[in-house]
Amino acid sequence: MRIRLTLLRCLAILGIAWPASSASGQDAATVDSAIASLELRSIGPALMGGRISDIAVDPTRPTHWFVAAGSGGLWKTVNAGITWTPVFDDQPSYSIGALAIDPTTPDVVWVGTGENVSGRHVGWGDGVYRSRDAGQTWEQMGLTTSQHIGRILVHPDDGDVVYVAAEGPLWSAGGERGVYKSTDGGATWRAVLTIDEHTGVTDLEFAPDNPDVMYAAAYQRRRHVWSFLGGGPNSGIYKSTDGGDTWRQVTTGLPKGDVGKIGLAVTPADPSLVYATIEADEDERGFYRSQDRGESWEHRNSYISGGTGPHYYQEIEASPTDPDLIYQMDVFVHVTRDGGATFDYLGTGREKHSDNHAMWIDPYHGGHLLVGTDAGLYETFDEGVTYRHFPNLPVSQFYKVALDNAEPFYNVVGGAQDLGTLLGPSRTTNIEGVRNRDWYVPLGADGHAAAFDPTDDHTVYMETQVGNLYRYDRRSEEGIAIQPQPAPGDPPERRNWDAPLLVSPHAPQRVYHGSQRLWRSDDRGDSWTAVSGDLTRNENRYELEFMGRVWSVDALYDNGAMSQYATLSAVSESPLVEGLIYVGTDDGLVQVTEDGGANWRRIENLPGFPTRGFVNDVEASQHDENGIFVAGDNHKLGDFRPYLYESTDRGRSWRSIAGDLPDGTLVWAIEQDHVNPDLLFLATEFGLYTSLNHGRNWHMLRGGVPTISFRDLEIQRRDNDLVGASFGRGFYVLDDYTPLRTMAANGLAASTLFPVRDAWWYVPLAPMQAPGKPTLGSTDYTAPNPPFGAVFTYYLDDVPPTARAARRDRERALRDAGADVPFPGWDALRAEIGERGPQVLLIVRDAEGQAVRWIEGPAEAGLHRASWDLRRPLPDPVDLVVPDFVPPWGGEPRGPLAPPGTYSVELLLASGLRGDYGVPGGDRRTLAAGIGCRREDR
Amino acid sequence: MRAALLRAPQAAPELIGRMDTFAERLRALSWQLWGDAARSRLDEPGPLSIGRRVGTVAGGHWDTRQEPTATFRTLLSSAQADFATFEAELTQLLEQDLAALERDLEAAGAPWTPGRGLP
Repeated sequence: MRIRLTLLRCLAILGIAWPASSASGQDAATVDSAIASLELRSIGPALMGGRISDIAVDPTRPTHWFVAAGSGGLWKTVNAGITWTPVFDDQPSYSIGALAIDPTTPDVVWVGTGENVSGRHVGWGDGVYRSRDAGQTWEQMGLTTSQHIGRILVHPDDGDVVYVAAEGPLWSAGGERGVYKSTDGGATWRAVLTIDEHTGVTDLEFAPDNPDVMYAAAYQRRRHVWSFLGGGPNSGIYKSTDGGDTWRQVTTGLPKGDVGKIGLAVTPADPSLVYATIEADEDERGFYRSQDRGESWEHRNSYISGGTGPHYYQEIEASPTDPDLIYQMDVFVHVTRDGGATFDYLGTGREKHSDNHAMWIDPYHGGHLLVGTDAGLYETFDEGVTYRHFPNLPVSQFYKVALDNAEPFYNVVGGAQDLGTLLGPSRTTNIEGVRNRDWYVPLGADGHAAAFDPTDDHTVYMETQVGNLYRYDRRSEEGIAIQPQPAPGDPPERRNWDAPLLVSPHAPQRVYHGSQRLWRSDDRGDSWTAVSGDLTRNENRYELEFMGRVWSVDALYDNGAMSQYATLSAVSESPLVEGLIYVGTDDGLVQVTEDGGANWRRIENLPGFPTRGFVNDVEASQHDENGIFVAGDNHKLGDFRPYLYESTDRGRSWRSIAGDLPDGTLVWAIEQDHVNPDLLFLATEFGLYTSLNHGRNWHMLRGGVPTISFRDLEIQRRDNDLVGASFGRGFYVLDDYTPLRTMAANGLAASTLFPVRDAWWYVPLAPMQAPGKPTLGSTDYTAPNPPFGAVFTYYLDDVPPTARAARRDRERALRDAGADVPFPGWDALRAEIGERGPQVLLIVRDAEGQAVRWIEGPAEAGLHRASWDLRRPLPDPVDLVVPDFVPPWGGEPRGPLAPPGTYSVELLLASGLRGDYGVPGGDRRTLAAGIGCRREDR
Repeated sequence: MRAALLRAPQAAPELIGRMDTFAERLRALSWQLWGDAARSRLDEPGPLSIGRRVGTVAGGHWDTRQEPTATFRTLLSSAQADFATFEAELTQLLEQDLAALERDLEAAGAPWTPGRGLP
C-alpha cells in the first residue's frame, strides 16, 4: 500500500535572545573546536564503491582482509566483507598505493601511501605507515617525500627486513624514489636502488624460493596538466642476488627503446620463472617471460593493458600453483594459461565492473579471487564466472556536485570517476536513511559537472568526460546529447576532462558550457552560440617540456584518456549583474566579460599564481557586484600551495584569502554564503574548511569527516545545507549550517541557542518491516538521515564542575605543590552525594506557552545538537527494567504526535547541585528560539 | 596497385607520381569523412569530420524520444552538404582518375589486382 504522507513544516519565528560576545573575544582554538563539533553526515553512496588499489588477506585469519582505496583510505573486515571499518581515517593521507602484511607477524600491517597508478586524478601520499595491532593504530615510518608507493615487501622470515618500491613524485623530479630497504622494522631506510631523479620503482618481487634474489621494475614517467609521458629510456628490470643490497639491470631479450610501466610476477610453482608485462612502443611492448630467474627474457605476446592507458593497470598476478597461469589487470581482466603465449578475457566483462587494479588469489583454492576495480571490490569462487560485489564500501570519487530544490528533501547529483553520474536524495522519509537503492545512475562513463534546472527538478544537465554534455529528463529517464558543436570552418573544440557547466542565475533556460571558448544556450542546450573566441593561451602540448626538455611525438605519450589542453576549466556568472561572467582556464588565465561575451578582459595578475597554473574554480560574489573568488592549483607541477584569491574590482586587482590555511592545502572550490558575505566555504585536498571572517582564518569542518579530498561543494539555499563532493568517500552534508552564519555575524557567543530550522512533520516509514536490518542483513549499506524532527544547536562556553570535581581539582593542585590536602568537611561530602553532574534540558513549548516536551542534550562545553522528534512524552508507566532481548518488531516506545502548530524552545543548564537550574553564573534568563508549523501535503 | 605497378617494368615512371597523387587525394577524402588521422593519433581534436557529425547526432539521439535539437539539425545539414561535395569528389576520383590509372597500369602490363573486374 502506498502511504500518503502528511507533512508539517515548521517555521522559525524568533531570533536568539541571548547577548552575543564579539568574535574577537574568542580564541581560534575555541572557534576551531566548536566548529569541529558540527558533525557532517555521509550520505554515501556505496552502491558502486570506488577504485581499489590493493588487497591484503591475513594468512592466519582468512576472514580478515585489508582493502585499500586509491583515494578513500584503508578498510578492514573481520567477517569476509559482511561489514567494513575504515582504519586509516585519522592519518594525514587518504590515497593508498600498496599494502603488506608481515608474514611472520600478521598483526603488523604496512601501508604505502600515494596511489601507484599515474592517472590524471590521483592523490599523493606522505610515505609508509606501520600498524602493530592489525590496523588499530598507525605509526608514520618515513619516506615522506616518495608521494607514490608501488609495492611493499616484507621478508618472509624476518619482519624487520622491509623493502619499499617508491615510484616517487608523479608531477616533479626528485623526492624519494627507487628501492628502499630497512633492516630495523622501518626505523631507518637505505636507498638500495636509485636510478635518477625522474625514475622510480613500481614493482618488486622476491624469488619464491630465495628472498635474497629480487626483481625490481624501474619506472620513468611524468604527468603535467598538458600531457602524460608514460615512459622513458631509464625504465627497465633490475635484479639483486644479495637481498637487495646491490642491483644490476637485466636487458637480454628486453626492449631496447623507451619503456613505460612494468608489472612483475613470480610463482612458487616454478621459482625460476619471472613474468613481466612491459609498456613500450608497438614493436617491443608485450608480455615477457624469463625461465632463468630474470637473466634473459622471451617476448611471448604483444598484449599489454590498455583503456585508460597502461599506466592505469599493468599489474600481473601469477597463480601460486599453476606456473603457466597469470592474470593481468586491465579494463577487463585478462588471463593466460600458457605462460603468456596467448591471452584471453577472464569472463564476458558483464559479471562485474571494469577497470581492474588489484587481485588476491586464494592460495588454497585457485578459483577464489578478490578483485579490486574502479567500482569497488568483487569476490569470485569460480575464477570469474560469477562474482559478488561488496556494496558497502562508500569510496566513490566525485568530481562535482549539484543540488535541486525538491521537497521535502532536495536531491544530490554528482559526477564520479568511472562510475558515471549518480543521483540520489539528501535524506529520506524512512527510518533507515539514504540507501544504496535510493540512488541511480542516469549517465555512465566518467561523470563530471552536473546542474539541475532551478525551476524544474526533472531536468538535469550532466556530463561525461571531455565535455560530453547531456540533458536528462527524470520523468522519461531519457537523455539527449546537447554538447555545443563548432560551425564549419571553426577551429576544433578542445574540452577539459572536467568541462565547466553553469545554469545562469538569471534565466533557468540559459546554460553555459566551456571548450576553449565559452558557449551560451538560451533554450536549455538545444542550440548554442559561442560568446567568446579562444580564451586560453592555446599552446600545443607537444611543444611543452617534460623532465627539462621537449620530447618527440613518438615518445610514450599516453594522452588518450585524459584532458585536452588549453581549455576552460571553470565558469561563473554574477548573480547580481547579468552578463558579468568569469571563466578560468587550465593554463593559468582568468577572463571576464561584462557584456555577456561581447568583450573579454584577460587577467594574469593573480599574485604569485604560476603562469600555467590550473584555475580550479571561479565564483562570483553573492553580495558584491564587483566581487570574484578564484581557487587555483599548481599540483601537477609538484606545487601543493593554496592559491586562493579575491578581487573586489572585477579582477583588476587581487588579494590572497588563503589566510592561515596550512601549507600544502591544495584548494579546489569555494562557495560564499548567500546571507553573510564573510562566511566562506572551501573544498580542499584534505577536507572542507569554513571562514567566518572572509578568509583571514580558516577552520576545518572535521566533524565526522575522514581525511579526504573534497573537489567541489554546493550550498542548498532553502535548507542552508552545505554538501561536499569528496573524491573517495562520497558526499557529505553539513545539515543546517546557520550556526556558522550566526557565529560569523556575532562571534561565538557565550552559551548560545542558535535559531532553529523549519522541520518537516511526517511519520517515518519502516520500508523493511522493522528498524534495523532484519531483512537485508548486515551487508546492507545505509547512510544516516539527520535526526528526525526539529534539531536544536547550542553552544556552552563553560559548564560548572560538580562540587566533587572542583574539590578534586583543588586537591590535585595541592598535591602537585606538595601541600597538605585539607579535609573537606562532612557537609561538603554530604552535598557531593547524589550530585548528578551538569545537565542540559531543552523545553519545547507550544504556541500557548504550554510545555510539550523535555529534551536532554549533551552538557559539556562546546557546540552540540539535540533533536525533538515532534512527539509528546511517552504516556506509558515508567518501567526501568531493560529486557535482554527485544524483537525488531517490538519497536521503540514513543509518545503521541504533537499537533501542527507553533512551538518554541528554551535551553536550561543545570549545574551539579540539585535544583540549581539556569545558565552558568546563576543568570536565569532563558534562551529561546522558535519553531512554527504549517501543514503541507506531499 | 602499387605492388602491381612495381611488377610492370614497362610502366612510365610518371605513373608512380600519379599513384602518389591519387593516394593523397584519397587520404584527404578519407579524412574529410573520418577525421584527421595525424591529429587523432596524438589524441588531439581535429575539424569535425562528416562521420563525426553524423555519429554525434546518431549517438546523441539514439535512445531518446525527445525532439532532435537545433544543434543536431545544423550538424546534419552541414554533414549533408559536405557529403554531397565529398561524394562528387569521390565519384570523380573513382570513375575518372582511378579508371584512367587502372587503364594505364593495364596497358603497362601490370598484373591484375584484387577488387578490379577481370580483364
